[in-house]
Amino acid sequence: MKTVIKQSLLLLPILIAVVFVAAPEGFATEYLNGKLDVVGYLEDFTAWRPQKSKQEDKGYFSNSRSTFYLKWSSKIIECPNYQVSFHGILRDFYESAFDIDHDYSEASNSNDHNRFRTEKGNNRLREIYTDIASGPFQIRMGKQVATWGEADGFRLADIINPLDQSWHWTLEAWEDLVIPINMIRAWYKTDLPGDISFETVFIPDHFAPTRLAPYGMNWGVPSITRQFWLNLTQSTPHNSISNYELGFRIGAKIKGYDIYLQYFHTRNDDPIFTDNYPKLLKGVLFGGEKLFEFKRYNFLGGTITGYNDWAKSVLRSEWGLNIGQKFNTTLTGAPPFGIRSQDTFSYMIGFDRPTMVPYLSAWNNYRSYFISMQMFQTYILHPAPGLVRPPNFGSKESTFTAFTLILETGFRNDSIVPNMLVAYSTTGWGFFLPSVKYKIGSHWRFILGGGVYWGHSKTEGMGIFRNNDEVTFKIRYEF
Amino acid sequence: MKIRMKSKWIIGITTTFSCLVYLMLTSVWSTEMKWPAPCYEGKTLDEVRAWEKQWVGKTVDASNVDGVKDFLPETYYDRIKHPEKWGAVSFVIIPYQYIKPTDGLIKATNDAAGKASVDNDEVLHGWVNGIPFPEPKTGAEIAWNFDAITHGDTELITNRGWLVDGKRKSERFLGRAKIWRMYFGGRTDVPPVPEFPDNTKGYRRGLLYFFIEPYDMRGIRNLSIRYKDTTKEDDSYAFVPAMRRVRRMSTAQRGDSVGGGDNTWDDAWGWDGHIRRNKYKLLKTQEVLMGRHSDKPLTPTKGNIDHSGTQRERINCYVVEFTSKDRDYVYSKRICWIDSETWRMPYEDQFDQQGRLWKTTEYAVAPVNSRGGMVTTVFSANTIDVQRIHSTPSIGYPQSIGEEIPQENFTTDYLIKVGH
Repeated sequence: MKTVIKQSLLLLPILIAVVFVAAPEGFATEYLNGKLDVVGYLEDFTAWRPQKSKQEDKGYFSNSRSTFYLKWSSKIIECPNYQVSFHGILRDFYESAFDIDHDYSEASNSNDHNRFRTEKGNNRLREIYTDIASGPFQIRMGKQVATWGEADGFRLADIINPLDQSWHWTLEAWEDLVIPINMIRAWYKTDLPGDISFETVFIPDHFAPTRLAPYGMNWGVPSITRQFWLNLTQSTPHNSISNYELGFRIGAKIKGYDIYLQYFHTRNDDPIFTDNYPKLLKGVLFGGEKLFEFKRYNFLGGTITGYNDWAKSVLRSEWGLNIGQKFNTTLTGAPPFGIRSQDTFSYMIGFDRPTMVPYLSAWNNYRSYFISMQMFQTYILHPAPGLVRPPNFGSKESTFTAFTLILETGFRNDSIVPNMLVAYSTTGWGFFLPSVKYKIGSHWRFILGGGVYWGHSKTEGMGIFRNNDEVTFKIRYEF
Repeated sequence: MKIRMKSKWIIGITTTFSCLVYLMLTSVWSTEMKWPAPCYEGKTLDEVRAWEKQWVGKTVDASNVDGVKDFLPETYYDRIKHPEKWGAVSFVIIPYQYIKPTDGLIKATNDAAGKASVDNDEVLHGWVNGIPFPEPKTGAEIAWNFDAITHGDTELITNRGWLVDGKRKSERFLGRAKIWRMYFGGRTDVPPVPEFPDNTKGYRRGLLYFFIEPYDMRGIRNLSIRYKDTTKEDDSYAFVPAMRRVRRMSTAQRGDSVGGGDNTWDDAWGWDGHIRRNKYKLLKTQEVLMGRHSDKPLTPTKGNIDHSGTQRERINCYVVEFTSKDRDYVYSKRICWIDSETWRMPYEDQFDQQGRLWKTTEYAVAPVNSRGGMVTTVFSANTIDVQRIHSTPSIGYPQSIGEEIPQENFTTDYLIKVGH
């Protein structure tokens, strides 16, 4: 019976898709004279590992996820003086990799299957917020996503919402990974020279950490054992005013450059071990104690973007100073841990350039190639002896340097869109993500892709997944 | 004493003569400068009406197109004449109807007549608003007239586009977008005229695209700002919903395809680049049948690269060759038909870098009521890649012309504000 239910759930998106094929115009996107519009998609995502991971004894399927996604916007009041609108996103999924891959099912804990099989509770309602705008003022309240940053692939200044890295690490679009948070955002646009504008973000009580999977799951982190992972979940603070986060941003245009400066008082989305040794020992040996803490720090940063005519490129830059970020320290590499405040400085410089490549573009009906490159550097300022580095860093490095390259173009009037992203860190890890999107008609999209991951160490950067190269396939019906 | 008297006489005679010459010239200007000038009037109009008695109401297709061959661009005639290659296409002939410019445009043009000039680098001087050259003599002057007219100063239109593969007889919906266009300078019809008083940044025009369909384009809001300074490239921004942020966009490749269509960024409205980027040559004037009152629904045939049903009337066009100054530009040249009455570009041929015919683009317009009077707007457009037998037709649904659009809409803050 259970198998029948599982199979039915697996087949449901396909059946719905077949209904759409029979009536391709079946989904109108606008209702009530354009006051309400609804869009969405049904997607099936399968990731297959050509070689079963040798070290973890995991299965061939790293993902088999069917997703239903619905997004709506409605205009409630439209007056000349003020406007009120209401927006939301509903998402649910069914992850069936455990069901179809016996080896994976055996290698991972069955309790975790239930945890990761579908979206849970309120998480299904990903976003739900109200917008109120009046002249130069605007306020947005509810569960939402706020993005303050210019970088692609890595996040320096964009730190307001945490990420869900539990199901496909950071290899999907941010839109699918970011965890919406209850917050209030407000904007004010001045008439001052330079188009100066102000923005503020206030998170009253909602805290969500970076979502990770336990070891044993396909995208679990080896250093986070299942017991640690369970403890991590328990250590997450409940919603309360003590979780408040507050940020400000000021923007201006100066000589054709868009400049933003921002400040954010935040709680770190990534945990550190508690420095209470008796508690730690008791927790590890007997359980019941919260081993992790999410410490506060201040972020000061900014972004600059502008178009340079000589380079025919958009130049992008982002920087951030984490003031008083907390790190664990240990001189022995094992507990007891200490906690030490450290400042870190990060920056990114990059450019985007659509380029007509000689011969290649001419052969492709004069379609340009989008080239985007970025360089990232993070410095831990005056690192303390025995400082436990973030996973991106080498175990003894105080500097993290990485480069990314994105290439994209379109063939056959953009019905075939190849894309590739390469990231390389000087500590030796990196990844390569090629993909080809094929558009058939107005609704169907097929994306064949892959991931190649490498690294010297299984604890650094993408080295964590160095044995998990994969081929991915997405089929999506969009409406 | 005698010499002084003589000098006075000479100065007096010279001054009087100069004044007479000035008066003669200005009176000649005021009598000869005739603008607005309909395509046909008087005797020529009678001749056109006589011709129309034979043709108006008729559907022209491959069987009878030879009868109007002289009134069609050669490339269009070829498409109608050879349905086995291009698919069957027909159009309907309607009578010529004069489209009177708005009062604001007439006033601005007459007030500034004779003040504008174009230098050898195709840069315009001495122009504020209106038609800079009511009686153009050169290709560059015609090009500037085409560029200067604002067609009601503001516009909100919804556009739908398709991709048609003529070889496979297949179609794909390209998308639907709402487009806001507003001129900040060179305005003629909607106050403030000729320019917003607080236009300190020197904006010429703002363009805002809200993409509605398909899903992978939905929610993208693209803002493009053009400056009065023609040496300055446009500013472009896009709100990308997947990233939830506004991203600065490069405007370097204006010869690049728009969203995978056959048309490029420069192809919008016939030519949407800076005028100084080309050299211009007036080839001839030609009477052609073009869609100028073509607001009836078109009748596309699935898989056909061109659509039937355009209502065409006889008009007078300037035929101007646009040659790019950039040797690496995607087109080596364009041959453009520019309506002498509305300064629209109803038709153009585009040639590849080897000089071969690559594409043709047609814009069928119709007059609509705007706040400043009657102006034309584009009801349908079609770019046809004749080498690949592929096309990108689109249909426009004008929603408002000449209505006020808040200046705030053309800012990145607005993109964030309405971005979800």
